[in-house]
Amino acid sequence: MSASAPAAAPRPVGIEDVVLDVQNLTVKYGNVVALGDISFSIPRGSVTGLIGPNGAGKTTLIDALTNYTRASSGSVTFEGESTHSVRAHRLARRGLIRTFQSVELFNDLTVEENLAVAAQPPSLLAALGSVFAGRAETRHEDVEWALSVTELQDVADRYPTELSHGQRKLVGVGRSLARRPSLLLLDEPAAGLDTAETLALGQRLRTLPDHGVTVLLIDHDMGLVLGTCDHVMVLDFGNLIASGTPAEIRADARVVEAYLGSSQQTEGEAGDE
Amino acid sequence: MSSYILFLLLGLGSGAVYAVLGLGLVLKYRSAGVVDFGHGAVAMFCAYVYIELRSSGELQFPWIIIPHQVRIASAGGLGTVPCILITLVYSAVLGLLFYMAVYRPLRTAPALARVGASIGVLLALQTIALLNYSTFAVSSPPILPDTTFHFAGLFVPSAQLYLAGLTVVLGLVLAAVYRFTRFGVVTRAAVENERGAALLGHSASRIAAYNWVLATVLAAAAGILILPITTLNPGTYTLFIVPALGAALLGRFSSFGAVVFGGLAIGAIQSETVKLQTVWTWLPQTGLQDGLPFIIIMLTIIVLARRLSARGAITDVHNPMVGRPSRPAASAGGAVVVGIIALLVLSAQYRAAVDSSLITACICFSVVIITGYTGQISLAQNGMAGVSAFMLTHIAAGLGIGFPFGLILAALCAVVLGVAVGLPAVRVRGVNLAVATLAVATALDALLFNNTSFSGGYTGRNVKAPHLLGLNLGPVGTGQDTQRLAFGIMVVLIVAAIGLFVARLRLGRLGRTFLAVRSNERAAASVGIDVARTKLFAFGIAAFIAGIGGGLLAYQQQNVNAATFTTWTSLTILAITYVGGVGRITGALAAGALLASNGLVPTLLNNLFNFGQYQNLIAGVLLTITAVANPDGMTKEMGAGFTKLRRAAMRRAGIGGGGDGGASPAAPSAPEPSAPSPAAAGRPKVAGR
Repeated sequence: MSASAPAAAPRPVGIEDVVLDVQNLTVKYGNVVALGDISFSIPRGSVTGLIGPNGAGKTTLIDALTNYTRASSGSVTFEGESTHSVRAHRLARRGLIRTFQSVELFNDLTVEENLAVAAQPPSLLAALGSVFAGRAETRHEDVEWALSVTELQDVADRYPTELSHGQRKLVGVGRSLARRPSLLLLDEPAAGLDTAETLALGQRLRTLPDHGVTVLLIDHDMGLVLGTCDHVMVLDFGNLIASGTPAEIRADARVVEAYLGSSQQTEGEAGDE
Repeated sequence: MSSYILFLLLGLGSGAVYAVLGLGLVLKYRSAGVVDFGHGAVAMFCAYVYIELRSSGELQFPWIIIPHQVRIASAGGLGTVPCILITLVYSAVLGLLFYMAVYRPLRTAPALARVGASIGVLLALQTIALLNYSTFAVSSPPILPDTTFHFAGLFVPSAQLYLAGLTVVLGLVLAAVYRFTRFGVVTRAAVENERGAALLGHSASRIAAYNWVLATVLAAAAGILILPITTLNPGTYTLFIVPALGAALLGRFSSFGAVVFGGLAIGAIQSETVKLQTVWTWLPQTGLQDGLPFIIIMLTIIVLARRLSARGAITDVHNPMVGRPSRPAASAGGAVVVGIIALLVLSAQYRAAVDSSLITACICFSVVIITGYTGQISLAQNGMAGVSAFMLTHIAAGLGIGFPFGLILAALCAVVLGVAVGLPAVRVRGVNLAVATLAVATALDALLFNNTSFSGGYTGRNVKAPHLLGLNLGPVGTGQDTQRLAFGIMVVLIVAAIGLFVARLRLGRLGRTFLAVRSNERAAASVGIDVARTKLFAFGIAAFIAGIGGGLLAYQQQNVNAATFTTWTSLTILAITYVGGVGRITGALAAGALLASNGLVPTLLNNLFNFGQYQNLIAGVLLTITAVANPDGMTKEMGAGFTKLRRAAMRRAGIGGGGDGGASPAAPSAPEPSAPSPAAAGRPKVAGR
């Protein structure tokens, strides 16, 4: 819909330019506040980063945005419509797609089939009809595109279990892309990748806004997030403690304390590092 | 009024057995992660051990052909108490053997393998009992004091009350043991976190073995104590598993108190319905007692679904492999040619065997769709075939619609049922779904197939032969004209068409969607797949295929009756498909040809060695072996070369191992590989205590 959206840094934000708007989102598990009163919005065509130490609530945020977890209070508006009590697969069909930290591929399907199952139209009756249709299927253009973005063409016929960890991570991203998301939520795509793979991933993610895909990148690889994103938010203990350009984040005292400082305190006792 | 109470109290006897069996199911599930569908069959077998020992002084063994009994005393020479004690020791050994040989190797296996293994044990024990003992009901002299209590104007037989009382005490003792003793705490710890418990020096499998033995002994005790107030035969005792599962489910496979209450309540309500049937004559007059656990299981699942999570075992990754048919149209065409040539060449008896093989294969195709492709364990597929078979006769008689539209309409009736059976699958998965579908199978059997107005009772209902364009396609003509070629060709064509459909489905969008749901429901939803609707859709398609198979079976037999579609047949259908290879066309065909009763190979063997009576035993034993040793089924070996390559690759990536080390980079569905460590670190004090 907005394939021509510029990939540039944040523009002035108008209502129609906001893909996702989050107001006062709170998630509680029992008495534990996993996410406390979070508000932010994601401009269309941006690559937004979210960082935070382990246990900061990053995955909980993705779960809550995609309705994998029920939010205790607050509102989420995606493409101008509330996501309240919309089932997860419906949100996915509307273009809000997530990946999983633990990849979660369909191991019974080849790489291409993993992507194809995301790209195909959702109607089961149409799919049943296609069983009777005589001709063979051709590769869907969205699958072709997702394979080319992730450079997985060479392994399209392999099964996920035959691939390296880094490749499997990419298949997870490719599967999400094959659905042609308007907003892609990436849950730690770089975890477990080596430096070169992380760098290549960052470059690929940078190109997505050119194809109409807005990205929310969640990771704790500071290098990846600060090097890739237009705008970065910092989460700690369920609260948003900072937000700004990568340069501002690098300079922010609270971030240094929460992210670097705290690790100095706790790990400092252990002696090294 | 008082007679209502009397019936309630009378039901406490069987209720007590349900409760004790339910407690055993809980012990087994909590310690070994297996919902043992064979639990009732074990109780049945132990009851035979006791009663044979008591009457003839011979000790029984669970095998056939070689002598299965050894005399250890003169007939009637042993008293009740020694016989009970010997039987309980015997049951302990039996339980230990079963655990070590079957269930221990399955600790890390997928739910389907565990369900399959326990159904294998069930079928094997039941068939052995049928072969070794008469199917006539056996009764026993009293064991518990046999008097009557005079109570509020009622005369209540004491045995029922003693049994109920013992059960309540047993429940309290178990609850106390598992709450307060070290054994109980360790069992619970091993359930929570097997690897963590192992790190603390507790062998989870040893703990499971103790629990398994205890559960088996309890099952034997219940089986013996209920003898005087019920009648023993291989079928009914084995079916105690259904109300027992209902009780265990009510207790969410964890609360002993709720299980005891649930079991007693099911027994009491069952008994009460006997009274109510005389008062409210509009109630179904048959099958209500057996259908009741179904209602309870369904209600429990609806209310408790979110909390009926699977036990926290080391999770499975390795679903049975699914074939990738190459050139399905050519294969189907070839199969038609081969089938027709076979029909032309073979004698009438073997023509019938070919028909039977293909019809069974057709019903097995429905298992390939629902269990193989979609990963939903359904124990009710032959029940759906049965509904279609009976509806075929009703549609022909009532609406005057014959072949082929009558067959299609009948199969569509099965679809309605199939989607209804699929509803629990929206809320529960794995073994809980197996329990729900077993309940459906028994309810169909009890309420529908044994309902005379629907099924014609013992005589069954006759089926009009199929005619098309003036051609008689039925299996029988006039005079000596039996096992007609025309019928065989019709079966070959229809089954080949369905096989082609199943193969093409696998290769297309629908098959991908089913497999995605089987692989990972969370991930499927994340790319826009409606998981609930997909499951219902798969159940519907599978039911249609089963329905066509059931209709063909009706045409072949020319008469449909309840015996063709009992609960056991549904279990057998899953069993033989699983043995053949649950994810493959060839698996279903192999199941039909090699394992179906009246199938091609069994007919041959029967002619050579009088093999037919061992049918279910062979299926049961093969099922258990398949589950333990070869979960992909026997046709896997016949698969294409890429299959082997893929398997080798999976093994390299550490998928098959499951249990060993979460460090393997390719353990995709272990979301928290580090989970064991904090729990283990948090409990050093327990170890040092």
